[in-house]
Amino acid sequence: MMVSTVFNQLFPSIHLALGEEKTSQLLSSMTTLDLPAGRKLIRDRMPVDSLYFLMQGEVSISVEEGGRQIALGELGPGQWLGEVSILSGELLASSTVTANTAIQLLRMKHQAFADLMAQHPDISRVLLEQLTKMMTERLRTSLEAGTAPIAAADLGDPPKRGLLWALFGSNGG
Amino acid sequence: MEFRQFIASLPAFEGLPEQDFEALLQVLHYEPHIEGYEFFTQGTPHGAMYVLLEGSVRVTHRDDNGNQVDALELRSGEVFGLLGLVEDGLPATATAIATTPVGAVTLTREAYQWLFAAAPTLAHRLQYMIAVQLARELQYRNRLLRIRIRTGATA
Repeated sequence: MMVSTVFNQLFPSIHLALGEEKTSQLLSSMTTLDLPAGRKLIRDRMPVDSLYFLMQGEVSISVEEGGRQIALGELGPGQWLGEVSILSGELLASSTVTANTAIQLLRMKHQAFADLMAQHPDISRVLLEQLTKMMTERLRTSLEAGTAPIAAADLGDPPKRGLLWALFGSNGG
Repeated sequence: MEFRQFIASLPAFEGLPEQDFEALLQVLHYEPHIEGYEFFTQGTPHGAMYVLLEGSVRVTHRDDNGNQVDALELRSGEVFGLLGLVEDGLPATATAIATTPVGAVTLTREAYQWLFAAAPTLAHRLQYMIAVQLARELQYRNRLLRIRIRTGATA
């Protein structure tokens, strides 16, 4: 089956909102990546250079520390990966993503994502809408799960809640 | 500095098309608040974002036992409470309290939705800022998880 057909089935909201032509434009900014079972696609706190759309197979998500890990769950076709590092600007992974089975992904490099954001507001609006929905649900789940008591000294920098000065150049891009 | 000029000088709003900027001024609502005013409370959904114009606001985060684990002082011109604009509401991830008498402008979730038609460039910019804030919050949550692993708080 053609990549575009599979994409449209797995990401129907994007296809519906963008239509054929803009969906093709979006797909042209991505490449296909196949990985065998067991391979780590993203490694916690290691650099991430792309955003991924999971097209086939299943991955597990975990957070690592000192050789131990907490499993956060599993994701299947129709999910995005790598969005936290691309958007937070840290470009470091916030979790480890391991292929449970052979997987196929569509990969969008950071630069292609940045170009879409700057030059194609119609496409980026749709992507941001979907990303926001997905991250909102992930954050809601995380907040409901709660956190154990922690020491302030361990925490490092809190997420910045003030103005996002660094994000915008003089053209507001 | 005049209010209009001040808003136009903020990085979040600078360089907007005239139509978008006028729409923004229509929906920003100025309010003075007394010291101790709580803009939003951790764990409780709220429906607006704010821009601090004058005075000081402290943003704090507490763990599940109510212990304060970090604090941030906001200065004039800073935007806060962005996640209050998220559709369907999200429990606030922190508490924001005025530590002096303050002046702030409010942008409600309803106004944000209206901007998509009236001021698409601005709405897109805010949408991006919200996505960035969500990503940072998720990273922060995973950092908390690492601390739980390190301190043996989970099996």
